[in-house]
Amino acid sequence: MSDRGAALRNAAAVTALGMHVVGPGDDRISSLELQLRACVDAMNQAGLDRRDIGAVFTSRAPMSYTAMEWNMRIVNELKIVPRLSSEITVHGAGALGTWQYAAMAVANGLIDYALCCSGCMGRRWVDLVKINAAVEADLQFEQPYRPTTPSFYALWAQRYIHEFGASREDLAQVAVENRRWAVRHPNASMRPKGEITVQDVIDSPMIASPLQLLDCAAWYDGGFGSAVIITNAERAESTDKPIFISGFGQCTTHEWITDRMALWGIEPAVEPNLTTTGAKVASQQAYEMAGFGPEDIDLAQTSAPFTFLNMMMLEDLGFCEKGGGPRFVREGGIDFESGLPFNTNGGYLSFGQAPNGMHMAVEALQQLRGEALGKQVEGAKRALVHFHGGPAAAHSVVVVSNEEGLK
Amino acid sequence: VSEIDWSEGLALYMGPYEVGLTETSPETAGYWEGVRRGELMIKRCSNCGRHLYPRRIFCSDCRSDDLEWVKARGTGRIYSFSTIYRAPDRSLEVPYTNGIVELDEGVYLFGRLVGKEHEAIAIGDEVDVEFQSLFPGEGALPVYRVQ
Repeated sequence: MSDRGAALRNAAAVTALGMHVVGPGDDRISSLELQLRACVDAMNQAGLDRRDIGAVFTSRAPMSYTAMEWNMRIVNELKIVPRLSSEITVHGAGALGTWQYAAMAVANGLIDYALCCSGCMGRRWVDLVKINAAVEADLQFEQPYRPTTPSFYALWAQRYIHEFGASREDLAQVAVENRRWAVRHPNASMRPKGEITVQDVIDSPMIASPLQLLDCAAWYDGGFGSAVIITNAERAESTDKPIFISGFGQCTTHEWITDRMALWGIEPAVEPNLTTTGAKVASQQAYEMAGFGPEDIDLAQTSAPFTFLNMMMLEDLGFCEKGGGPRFVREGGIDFESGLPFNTNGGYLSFGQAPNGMHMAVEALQQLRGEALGKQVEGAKRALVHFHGGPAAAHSVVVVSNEEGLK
Repeated sequence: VSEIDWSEGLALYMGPYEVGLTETSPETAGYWEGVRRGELMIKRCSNCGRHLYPRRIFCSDCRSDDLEWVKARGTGRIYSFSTIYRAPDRSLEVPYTNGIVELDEGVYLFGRLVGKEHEAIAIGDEVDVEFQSLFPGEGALPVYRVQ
């Protein structure tokens, strides 16, 4: 294993986590207010003035709020004067990508503190089912055939099942395990519905073959706004419960799924395929930077909105070999009691998919600080967070640790 | 205060006129002109001979910009597919099947799969291109008849 990026290993840390969560029963606010409330919370916690913030990175503009350049809206409202700022536009991977740019900026001493934010009020303003397919589709060559978002991911699923023989039961087990975590988390969308069985998944309505209803994420009914302050390791040492960014990686392979099949000659598409994602490349980079591997990870959080994709991520993130996902799951690899703690808030399948939401990253931070809202993974030291967007098009991986004095 | 009823969420689409997205642009016009003639057109690199996706401006292999439109044989096989039972819009009739086909020239295209029971469609099935209007008021599109 090379040590590319090792100079950045544990060179930056998250020192404040700001949140603003709008639940199903709460009043509707704009996505701008959602993120600003999280930003102000983060700045208050870190004890920072707007003049202390040297960089502002945001995810792309929320689908529920029209803005050409979202970072400009945040900067404009908070009257921060950043010397480095951008939207990180690698689809859903950009929300976590913000941490990566922030880490590079503080580690190099370019700025002292970076503010990164994300969040969207989603279905409280827009019909996500209708618009999301249009966001994921090539409007000229795919959209005329009326695809849906699940039907794009289903193309990966169909091929994955064809090549590696995941059974209906294997895939269903992923949904069952995610739900077991969700029923213990106060903010999980599916908590009130209780635990489910493999048979429940098999009996659920077909959405886009081979994906059935319980193979799919539910849109989070509300908004999940969050913001973090990132600073260098030296400053972080004197703060309460800093979470160090041990390593990170990113990989983008395509904009639209059909064009993914026009990619060849480079990992993860040495041959054109819909079976290995950029998460493989992104995680390898993250592990190289961190200096440890998947065997050292105490808990993993992925942004996989479908059962099969969770299984593919277990492979691409290194927890088992390619094609070994079905067996890994069947043999209890992600068993709630005894397996790898995986999607410990219930994941996209059962916590819900909050568009532009950082809920999976927030869960990792809370677990490592010993402040989990759901089941706490005792003694957890290292966590992997995976975000992605597009039809498995762009991937960000960050591995974080609560161990002090790592540098 | 806006009088728009947001309670159910609204469908906000991109467009309707965006060059390179919904509208053809010079690099894709040859494809849609072909569709109107009933011919499936793809690009071919005059320098290295590689067949390319219709939108390409440079060859992805040798980076030549000397690309020409060629008529595809119109035959290939299914790489992957999905039958949609829940449409993005309630006015659409379900089920229908979309997929990615690998043309004999090695180019992969997205399209509607027709002519076979949805449940019987399988990866590897051979297909032939046809041109059909799928929606009232919309022009013909390439669709792929499954053997």
